[in-house]
Amino acid sequence: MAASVQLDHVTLKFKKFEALKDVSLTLEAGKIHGLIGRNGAGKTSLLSLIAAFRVPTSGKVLVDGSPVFENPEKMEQVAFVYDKDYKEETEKAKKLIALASHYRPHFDMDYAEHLIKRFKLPIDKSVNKLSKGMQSALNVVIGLASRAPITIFDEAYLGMDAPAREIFYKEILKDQEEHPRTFILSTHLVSEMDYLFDRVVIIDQGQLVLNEPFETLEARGASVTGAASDVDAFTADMKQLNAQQLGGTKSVMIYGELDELKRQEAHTMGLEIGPVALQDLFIHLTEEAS
Amino acid sequence: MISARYKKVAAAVFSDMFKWSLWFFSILFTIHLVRVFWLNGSTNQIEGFFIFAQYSVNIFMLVVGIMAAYVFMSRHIQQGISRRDSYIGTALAATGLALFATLVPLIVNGLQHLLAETISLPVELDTASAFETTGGWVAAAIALFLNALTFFLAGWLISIGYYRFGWIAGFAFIALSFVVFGLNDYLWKPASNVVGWMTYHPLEVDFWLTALGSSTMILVLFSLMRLLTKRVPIKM
Repeated sequence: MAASVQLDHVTLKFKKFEALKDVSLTLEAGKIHGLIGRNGAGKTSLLSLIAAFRVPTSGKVLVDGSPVFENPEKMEQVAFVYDKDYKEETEKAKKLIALASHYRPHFDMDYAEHLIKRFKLPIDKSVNKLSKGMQSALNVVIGLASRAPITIFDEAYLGMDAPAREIFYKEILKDQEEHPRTFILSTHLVSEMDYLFDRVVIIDQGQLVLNEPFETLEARGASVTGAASDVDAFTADMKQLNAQQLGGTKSVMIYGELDELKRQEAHTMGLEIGPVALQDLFIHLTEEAS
Repeated sequence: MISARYKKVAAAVFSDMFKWSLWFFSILFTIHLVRVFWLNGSTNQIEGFFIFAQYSVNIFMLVVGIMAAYVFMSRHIQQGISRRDSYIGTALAATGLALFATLVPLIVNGLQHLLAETISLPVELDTASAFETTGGWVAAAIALFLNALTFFLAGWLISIGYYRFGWIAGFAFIALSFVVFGLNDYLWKPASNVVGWMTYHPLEVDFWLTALGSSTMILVLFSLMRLLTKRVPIKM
């Protein structure tokens, strides 16, 4: 079960501040989308519209072609997991999991129990007494086990240690194989999570910068590695995004496609051409947009 | 198509409220027992549980209402329930709770009445006069039910006011709830004349007219709540 999302000329204003400016985009069903943007770019605003937490100031937010706001059939298909403030939440973790299974039509309790074990989540504890990482794990358990056709994780990993984040990522990929759905993963940990993404959506200052398959995005640049002097010569007239040097070896991220001629030239110079890091591309593209 | 999701909401919300009410009634009943057996002030007669519980039931309903927007509403929307289903479900649960909170004092009072005839208590319990003055136990029960529901709605109104409009405007909703309490007293306790700004016409008319007035106010409050929650943005 997976559903598509469509935003059609969506603007969201908070008094005079425009959080989203005329955004139109389609998120394909059954794909894992990485949503990246700088702080205050409008990521959470965008996600809160898809989850029908609020209504756009203008434009349409559609799930499988129907407006999502106050549409019970469509709202039910969207699970929005975000860094929720649990200071006042005195219920036990297992109660919140039970509530999700009560409301979510595709909730899988066996899968939830599997995840609880994976994250070692103490479900008999009050939620406000859980550590930040465990609160995030609880959110992730609910989000994954709900198996909502559109599952949104907005920085859901906050406070999780590296091994827990690794479990989170692996579980997404594993469950996506068995029960494909539309994932939207909003993150700042671009370099850590980029391997998960089928598609990448970048927004900046409330506007859509791009919405592309990961592979075509990767082809927008390249990494060139080899002897420092050779790399410098080869990349001299190219747009450099990032450079790292270790001893005599240098690696430069460049922006712009490398044609076959250039690739051959690099080969004869003994340079190694690899994919560009999404992180560098993201920094470049959002700088360019500002 | 009418969504049946509100039934899920009503069941879950009522289950939570029901648990709170069990706590509430256990505490209230304990206090009542202490009053009957120890703190009876050497008077000959004290009120039965029905009269004793009335005021506290209203306050309990007010508190549950105040928790409604913060505890339930955002939880529902986050679980993919529409505002409409959340509203209808919560309204049904609250009506059920008001009914339960009416039946418990009524039944306990009835039991006390039967018990008082078989065993001797330290004080005489007045388990009957509440019903004589208002025209029978049915009327007294209806009165308590309508009052309990009104107090819940007043609390719910305050809670949505704070939730949606923040602290300053929230105070306006508290003021609005005082208007509700004033009108409610005007209807049910004509002698107390709480509403100073309203020309006082003693409503010593029959019970059913009062009940009708109270029901009308409840309907207005329910409609107002729907308007206030219809497009409410959810806090994150």
